[in-house]
Amino acid sequence: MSLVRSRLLQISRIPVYQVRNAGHGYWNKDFQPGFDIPKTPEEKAAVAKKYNLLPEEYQPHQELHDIGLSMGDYPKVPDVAEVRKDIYYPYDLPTVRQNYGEARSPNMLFLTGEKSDPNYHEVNRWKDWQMFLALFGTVVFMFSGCLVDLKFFPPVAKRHYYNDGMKHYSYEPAE
Amino acid sequence: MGNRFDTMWDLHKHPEEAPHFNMIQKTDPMEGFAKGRKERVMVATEEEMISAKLPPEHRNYCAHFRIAFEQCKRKNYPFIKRACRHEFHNFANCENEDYIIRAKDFERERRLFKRKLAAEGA
Repeated sequence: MSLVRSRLLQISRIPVYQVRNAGHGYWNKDFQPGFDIPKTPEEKAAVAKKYNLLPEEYQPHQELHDIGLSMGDYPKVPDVAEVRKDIYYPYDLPTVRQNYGEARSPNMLFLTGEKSDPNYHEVNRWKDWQMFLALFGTVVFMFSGCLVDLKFFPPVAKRHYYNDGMKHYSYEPAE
Repeated sequence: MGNRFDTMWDLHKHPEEAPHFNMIQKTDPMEGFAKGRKERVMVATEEEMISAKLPPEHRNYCAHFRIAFEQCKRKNYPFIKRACRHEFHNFANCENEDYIIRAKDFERERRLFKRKLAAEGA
């Protein structure tokens, strides 16, 4: 009977996985966040469970809702780029450093591994300073030579003229 | 190159005493020359140089060669390269020797200055 049932299910394409994990459905409408921001603690707990979050972690996009760009009940998730995540944590999906069913930021497409790190300059301040000093320090060092009065000239004496009031000698011995 | 940097550094360290490119000789020119030195002779006269319209910076001990070269150039234009090669050779040799004498003057000044510094330090 079970074989017949599984065959029937294959043929009829009934979505059997749609309630397997909250937040992961089969149809597009199952991926859509809820329309209203939850108010009561029970509603919040239910929504947090839907997004695989603890109730105390859950926080809606209230300010976006207030200015008319509501995200529904979708939770606030910190924007952590893939390259900034711990590489030694045992992720369910190590190639993308995510866990299965993990709530993700609305900016997730900008945080994938092949994109540039948005937190680079916050993390690598010293590197930025090193580059700045290497460039402008070199320029300042080069132009600091202008502050010293150095005379660079061919080591040759003054020109000899017959009428400059001096006696000029060649290096041949006089007879 | 090292010569030039040494000269520059000497002048920076001792701006008053070190030999300078525009300096009048401070040492006795006959010091150390047992046989003496030949005095340089000006061959071209003032009138020749005036008539040749030589500018003041060219009225040096090679003026007569320069005048001959200029005369040859005037006479043989435009075949200067071929016709005036001897004149040019004389003139260039004279200028070269003049430059060598000046370089020797400077080097002599520098060495005497170094000797003086060493004597003061010792």
